[in-house]
Amino acid sequence: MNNGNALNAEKTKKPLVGITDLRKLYSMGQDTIEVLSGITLEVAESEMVLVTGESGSGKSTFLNMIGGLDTPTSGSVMVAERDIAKLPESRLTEYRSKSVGFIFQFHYLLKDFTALENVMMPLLISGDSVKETRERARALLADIGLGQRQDHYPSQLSGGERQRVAVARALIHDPSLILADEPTGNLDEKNSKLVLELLFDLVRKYNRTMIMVTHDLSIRKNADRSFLLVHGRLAPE
Amino acid sequence: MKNLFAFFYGIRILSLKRRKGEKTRPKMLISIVSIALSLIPVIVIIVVTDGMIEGITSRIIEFSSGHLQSGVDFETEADLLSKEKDILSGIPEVTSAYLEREGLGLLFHNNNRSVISVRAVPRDLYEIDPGFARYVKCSEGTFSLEKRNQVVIGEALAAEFSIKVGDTIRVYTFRGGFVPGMSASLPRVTRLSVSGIYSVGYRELDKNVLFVSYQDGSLMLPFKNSTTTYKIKVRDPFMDLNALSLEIEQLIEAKGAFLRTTPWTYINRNHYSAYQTTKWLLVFITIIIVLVATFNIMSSMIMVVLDRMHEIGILKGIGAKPGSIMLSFVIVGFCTGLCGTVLGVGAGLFVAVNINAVISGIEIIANAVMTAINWISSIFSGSFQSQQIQILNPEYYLEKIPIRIEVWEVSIVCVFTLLVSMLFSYFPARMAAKIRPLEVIRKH
Amino acid sequence: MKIKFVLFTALRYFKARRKSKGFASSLLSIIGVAWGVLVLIVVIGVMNGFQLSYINNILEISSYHLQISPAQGAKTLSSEKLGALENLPGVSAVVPYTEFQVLVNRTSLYSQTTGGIVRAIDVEMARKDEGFLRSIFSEETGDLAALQAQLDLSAPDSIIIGNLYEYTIGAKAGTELILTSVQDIKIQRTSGNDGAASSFNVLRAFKSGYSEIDMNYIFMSLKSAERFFQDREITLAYGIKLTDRFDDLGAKLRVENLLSDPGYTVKTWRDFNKGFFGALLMEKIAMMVLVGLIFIVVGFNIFNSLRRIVYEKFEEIGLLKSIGASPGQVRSVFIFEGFLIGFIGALTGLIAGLVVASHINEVFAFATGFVNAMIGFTEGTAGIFFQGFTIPRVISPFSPEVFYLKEVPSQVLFGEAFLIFFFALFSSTTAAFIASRKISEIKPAEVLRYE
Repeated sequence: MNNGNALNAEKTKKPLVGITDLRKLYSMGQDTIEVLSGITLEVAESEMVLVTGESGSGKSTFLNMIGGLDTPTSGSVMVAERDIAKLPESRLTEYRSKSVGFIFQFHYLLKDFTALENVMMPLLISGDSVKETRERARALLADIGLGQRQDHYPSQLSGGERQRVAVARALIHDPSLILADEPTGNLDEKNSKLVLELLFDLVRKYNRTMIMVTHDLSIRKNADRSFLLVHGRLAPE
Repeated sequence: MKNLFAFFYGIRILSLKRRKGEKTRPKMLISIVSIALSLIPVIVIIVVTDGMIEGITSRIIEFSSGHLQSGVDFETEADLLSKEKDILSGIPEVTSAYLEREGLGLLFHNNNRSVISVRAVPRDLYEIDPGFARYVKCSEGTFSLEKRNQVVIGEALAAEFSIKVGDTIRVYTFRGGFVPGMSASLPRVTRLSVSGIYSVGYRELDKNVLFVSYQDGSLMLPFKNSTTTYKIKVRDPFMDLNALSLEIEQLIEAKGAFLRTTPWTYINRNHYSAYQTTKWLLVFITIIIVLVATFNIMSSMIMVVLDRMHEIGILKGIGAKPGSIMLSFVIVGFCTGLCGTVLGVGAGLFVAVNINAVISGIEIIANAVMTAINWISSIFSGSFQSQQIQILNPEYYLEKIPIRIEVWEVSIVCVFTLLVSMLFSYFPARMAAKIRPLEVIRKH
Repeated sequence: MKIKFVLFTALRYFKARRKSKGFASSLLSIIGVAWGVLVLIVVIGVMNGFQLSYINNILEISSYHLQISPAQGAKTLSSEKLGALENLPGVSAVVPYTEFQVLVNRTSLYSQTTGGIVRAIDVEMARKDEGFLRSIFSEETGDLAALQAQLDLSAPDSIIIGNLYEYTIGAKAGTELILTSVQDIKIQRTSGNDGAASSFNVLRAFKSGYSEIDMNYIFMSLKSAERFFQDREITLAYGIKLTDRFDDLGAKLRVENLLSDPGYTVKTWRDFNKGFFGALLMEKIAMMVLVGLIFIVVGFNIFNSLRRIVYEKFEEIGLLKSIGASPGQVRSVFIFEGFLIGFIGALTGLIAGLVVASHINEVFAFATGFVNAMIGFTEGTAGIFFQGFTIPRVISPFSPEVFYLKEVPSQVLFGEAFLIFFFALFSSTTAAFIASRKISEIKPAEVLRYE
C-alpha cells in the first residue's frame, strides 16, 4: 500500500486536501511554542488517513487547522482547491457548514435537544426545510440502528450512543471531508469498537474522505495511510 | 472573629482589589450603575418639587395671604383700630401687623381697560414687612407710595398696556352698595402715577395686582364692598399657628372688638394639599424605579454565587460557617447599594442644584433641533414657522426654580435604598450559605 | 430560511429554561419589563385623564374647535350662510355668540365685587351643540333632550352661572345679580344710570369641573345681552364644533372657502390655546421621560442575565459555531431571547396596565395605605438609630378631591400605549444585542480544546 512517495497521493486519485508547510506557534507569556513545524501532506478523495501521536503532540491542533476552527501561523491548507487558511470568517462558517463533518472526543451534543434534533442541526443551520431535514435525520439514525432512541435527550443516552449520534450529525449534510478527533478516546472497549465500525462503514459506504486522529494504534490497519505526528512533523508509519 | 472573615470575603467578591494581569471588572458594576442611574430622577424630583413648593408657598404667604389674617367685619373707629394694632404688634411672635384693604377695580389706559385688583397697603410696607420686600422686586422704578396717588403695578400689566414708570393711569372703583333699579353705584375715578413696576416671580399671584397707599385706597375702595384685613407676619410661619390665632382672638375680644383670625394654612389649604399630593405621587413613581434597579442586585449576585460555587463549597469544607458566608454576601449587597447610592445621590444633587441651567440647556438644544427641522421642512412647504420651545412657561410656573434640599428627605431615600439592597441580597446570600460542600466536590 | 434555526433553537432554550437556574432571572426580567410598562401606562393614563378633561372643557365651552371672528364693520352672517356652515361635512354645530367682561355684584349693600366673563349665545343653535351641553352640565346624566331643557334662557333676565360663584359671592339659583359691563363703564363722573349695569336673575348654576370656567363664566341669551349694546354694535363671533377635532385644519379650509370673504378670520383651537396646551404637553413628555427611565434600568437587568446565559452556554456556542453556525446566527438566538422577554413582559404589562388604569380609584385607595406602610417601615428601622425619628404621615395624598374632582380620570390613548409597548420591546432587544456581543469573539477551537 505504501510506496516510496509515501507522503504524496497516488497519481491516479485527485487530491482533496493539500497541506503545504503548515506551521503553528503559540505564545504563552514570554515563551513561544512551535506546535506544528512545517507539515506537508496530500490526501486524495475517498482516502482514509490516520494520524497518531502522543497526547499533547498537536494532533488536535492539526485537525482544527484543516477543519477551519483555527488558523495557522504560516503555510497553506488547500481543500477542494480553496486555501482554508486564508478564508475570512464568513466563508469559513460556510465551509464548516457544508464541506466538513467534525467528530470530537467528547460528544458535544446540545443537551436541550433530542438525538434526532441534534442530527438535524447542521441542515437547519444551512436553512433547509424542517420537514425534509427531519426525514433525512430519521433515516440516518435508523440506518445506524438508533431509530428508537431518536426522541431521547443526551442525558438519557449512554456514552456510546451519544457518540454514534455525533457521528450521524457529522455526516448528515454529506460533507466531502470528515475529521475525527479521538472519537473513541472517552469510550470503553465495547463502545469504541461499535463507534469505529460505524464510522468506517459509513465512510466507505458513502465514499467520503476521512482524516482521523487517534492514539489507538490498533486501528491503523483500517486506514489507507497512517502517520505519526512527533516534534511538530509528520512521519509515515 | 468570623465577622472579620465575612468582611474580607465580601470585599474579595466585590473584586475591589485587582491583581496584576486580571482583566475582569468588578462583578457588581452593572448593579451599581443601575442603582445610581435610578436614584438621579428621585433626587432631582424631590429637590425640584420641594424648591417649587417652597418658592410658591413663600410667595403666597409673603405676598398674598400673609402668615395670619384677621378679618375686620365692621367698620371700626380709628382709635379702636390703633388699639388693635398695638395689641397685635405687642405679641412676641408677631414681627409686623398692618391693615390692608383689597378690592376690585378697573384699569384704564390708552383706550384699553382691564379688571384689576387694588391692594391698599401702608406707605412704609417695604420697611415694616421684610418678607414682602424679599419677594417683591421692582424691575423699574421703586416701590414707593410716599406721595399721594402713587401706584406700583405688575410687570404683566405694564407689558400689556405699555405702561412705563412716570405714566399716569386711571383706576375706576365703586362706591356705595348695589341697589336694584339704580344701576352701577357712583363710580370713582382716581388718577395714579406709576412709581414702580414690580414682579413677584410667579405670575399666578401678581398678574392683575396693583398697590396703592392705604390712605388713597380707603378713598378709592369703600369698606362695604372691599375686604379689609390685618395682615400679620410672624417669626416662624411654619410652626403650628392655630394656637396663636386663638390667642389673638382672645386678646382682641378682651378689648371689646372681634377679629376672626385664620392662619395661612387654612386660607390656602387647597393649593397646599394639591402640591403635596403631586409631590408624593412623583416620589412614589420614582421610588419604583429604584426598586427595579435594586432588584438587579439579586440577579447579579446569583451569578456571582454560581461562579464561586466551587470556592464556597471548599470554604465550607474547611470550616467556614454558613452564617459567615451569608453575611459576606449581604455585605456585598450592602456595599453595592452604598456605592450606587453615593454615586446616584451625588449625581442627582448635582443636576438638581443646577436644574435651571439644565433646563435652559435642554431648551437650547430642543430649539436648535426644532429650528433645523422647520428649516428642512420649509424647503418643501415653502413656509418657515419658528416655534420657541419653553419647558417651563412662566405663565404657569415660577420663573426660576429655587433650590431647596431637605436633608432628611434625601437621607430617607438613602436609607431606603440601602435597606432594599440588603433585602434583595438576602436570597442569593441564603443560596450561598446553603451550598453543600459534598455536592461541589463530587461534581469534579 | 436560516431564521428557522434561530427560532427553533431560541424557543427550545427558552422552554428548557424552566428547569434550569436561569429561570428565576428570566422571570425577574419579564416581571421588570411588565412592571415598567404597567406603571408607565397607568401614569400616562391618569395624566391624560386630567389633561383631557381640562382640554375638553376648554374646547367644548370656551374656545370651540373653530372660531370665525369678523373684522370691524363686517356684517353678521345671514341665516342662509349659517345653515350652509352647519351643513358642511364635519361640522356638528355653529353657535353665534358674543363675549364681554363684567363686574358681578349681588344686590345688597355689603356685596363683594367679583369679575366675570359673559357669553351671550344664540340659545337655539347652542342647543344643537351636544358637546357644550354635556360639558356644562357635567353632573347630569340624561339624554340630550333633558340637557337642552336645562338651557332655558328664554326669560330676558335669566342667566346661568358657574357653581363657584357661590363660593366667591354666595350666588346660586334664584339670586339676583347685577352685572356691569366693563367695556361700557363711562369714565366721566355721572350720577344715576349709565346703562352699563343691569340686574339679572340666576336660573341655575352649572358645573364643568374646570375651576377656571366654573369661577368666571356666565351664560345668557343674545337677546338678554342686547341691553348692554345700546350704543354700540354687537360684534358676533361664531363658534364651530366639529365631529372630529383633529380635522380642524381641513375644516378650516372648508369654512374659509364657504365664506370666501377676507373680512372673516377663521382660527382653530390650536391657535387659541398654544400656551396652555404646550405646558400640558411638556408635562406629559417630562413624565414619560422620567418613567421611561425604568426601561433603561430593566435593560440593565436583561443585559446582566443574558450575559450570564452566554457565559453558561459557552461550550454550546463553540459547538454550534463548529458545525457551521455563523456568529450572526448564534447571536440572533440570544437576541431573540431578549426579544421574547421584552414581548412577554410588555404584553403582560400592557394588559395589567389597562386593567389598573380603568380601576384607578380602587388602586389609589390601596396606594395610600401602602405608602403609609412603607413610611412606617423606614421610620421604624431608622428609628433604631435615631431616636424619636418621625416622618409626617401622608394621610390621603391620592384623594381626588384635592384636585377638585369627584374621581380620578384616566384615559389611555392607543398611540401612546403602542409607543410604550414598542419602547419596552426595543430596550430589551437592544440590551440582548449588546449582551450577545461576546458571542462573536468565541473561538470554537478554544472551546473544544481539551487537555
